[in-house]
Amino acid sequence: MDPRLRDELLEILPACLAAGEGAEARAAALPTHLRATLEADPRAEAAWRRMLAQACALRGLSRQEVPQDLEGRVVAAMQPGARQERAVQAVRGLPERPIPDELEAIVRRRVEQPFRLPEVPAPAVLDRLVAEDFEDLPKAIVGRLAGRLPRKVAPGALARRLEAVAVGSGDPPSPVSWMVPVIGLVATIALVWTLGLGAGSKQNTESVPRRFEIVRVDPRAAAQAGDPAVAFLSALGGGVWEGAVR
Amino acid sequence: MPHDPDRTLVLACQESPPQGFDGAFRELYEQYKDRVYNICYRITGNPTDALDASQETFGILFRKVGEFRFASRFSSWVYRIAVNASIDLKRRSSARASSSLEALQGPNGGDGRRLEFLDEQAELPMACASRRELEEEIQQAITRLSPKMRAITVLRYTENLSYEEIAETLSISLGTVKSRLSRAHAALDRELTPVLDRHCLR
Repeated sequence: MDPRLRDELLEILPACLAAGEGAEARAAALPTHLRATLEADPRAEAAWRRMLAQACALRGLSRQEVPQDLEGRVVAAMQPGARQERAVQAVRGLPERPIPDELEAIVRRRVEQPFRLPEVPAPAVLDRLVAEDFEDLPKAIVGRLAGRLPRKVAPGALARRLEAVAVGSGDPPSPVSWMVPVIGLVATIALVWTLGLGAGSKQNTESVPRRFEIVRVDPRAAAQAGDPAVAFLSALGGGVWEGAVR
Repeated sequence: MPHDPDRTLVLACQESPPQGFDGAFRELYEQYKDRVYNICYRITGNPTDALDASQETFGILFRKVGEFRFASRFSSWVYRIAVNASIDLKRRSSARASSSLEALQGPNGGDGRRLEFLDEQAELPMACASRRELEEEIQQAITRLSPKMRAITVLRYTENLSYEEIAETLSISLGTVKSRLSRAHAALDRELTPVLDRHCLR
């Protein structure tokens, strides 16, 4: 049957059923164009009759009387916890699952051939570790712990220093090595100045012209002169002198 | 949305504090119990499941009626809850596959009003038995339909809902109502026609 025709007939079906019991009354309830179509198409007409019979049978089903206990159950359903109770009942009502046939075979196999873990041979290193423990336990522990200490990464500055050493001829120049002659020079100037100024103060009134003499002291030579000389120069140089000599 | 005939009753149920079963909700229950139970009965196919589904339906109604905002007809909402509760319950009980005593006695174990009326009219025992047998076979044909087709068949032919009401109840379009009903009839044609032929009802 043409789907559009079937939809149209299904929609009009309740009205036809309401029109009366007889086939004529029901046919009369059909719109003219549908009646003409059905008259012209015997297969569609037969299908229409079956549809009528099905709908009639479904409509003829008796109304079921509401059971007396529905009201009580509705009241129970309104109580707090009713849903949980129903859920529990539903779970309790679950059927028992049948025992699978292969279960017995599995259990039998397990009983007859108990499960065993495979034997694993002890590693060779165990002998050495135990021997170390017996020999000197604290030493062995310290040795193992030290071996587990995290290794530090060398800082980048080390690489730069090594590079500088590789490029240069020898040791990198220490800042003290060039400061020593300079400070020695300054100390000498200060000494001479002090001595000259002392003499000058006496001769100031005599208008004697001032004189300066710059003396360069070699630190190694001063060191050979003895500790008192070194101490003196060191005092003048604020301790730098002593460090430079040593 | 046209005026809902249940509006006043629903608003009374929504009053706070809730009055429990003896208030407006009882009126609502009385108004819908027959339709709800019959929908549940025809979809589940047996009185035990129908009772459970009806109880579930009214339990949900009681808990959710306060949230109803008249976006659809109240009746459509009630039918929807009943249909869903029945389909859910049927699915669960099918999984259980347990047969209750009522089911063993057949779906008409709790005699309907019409049958009782017919009994009072002193219907011949043979005719009565034949009618019961026919009803049972029709119910079995309905039960063999898929849940969607079962729901639409019940709403259309046992509850006499219009296409618009069915669409609203099942939350589907009118086109889907038509196509689903058409497929339901095609399935019923296979299931029901032999039964009707046997009972000479064509």
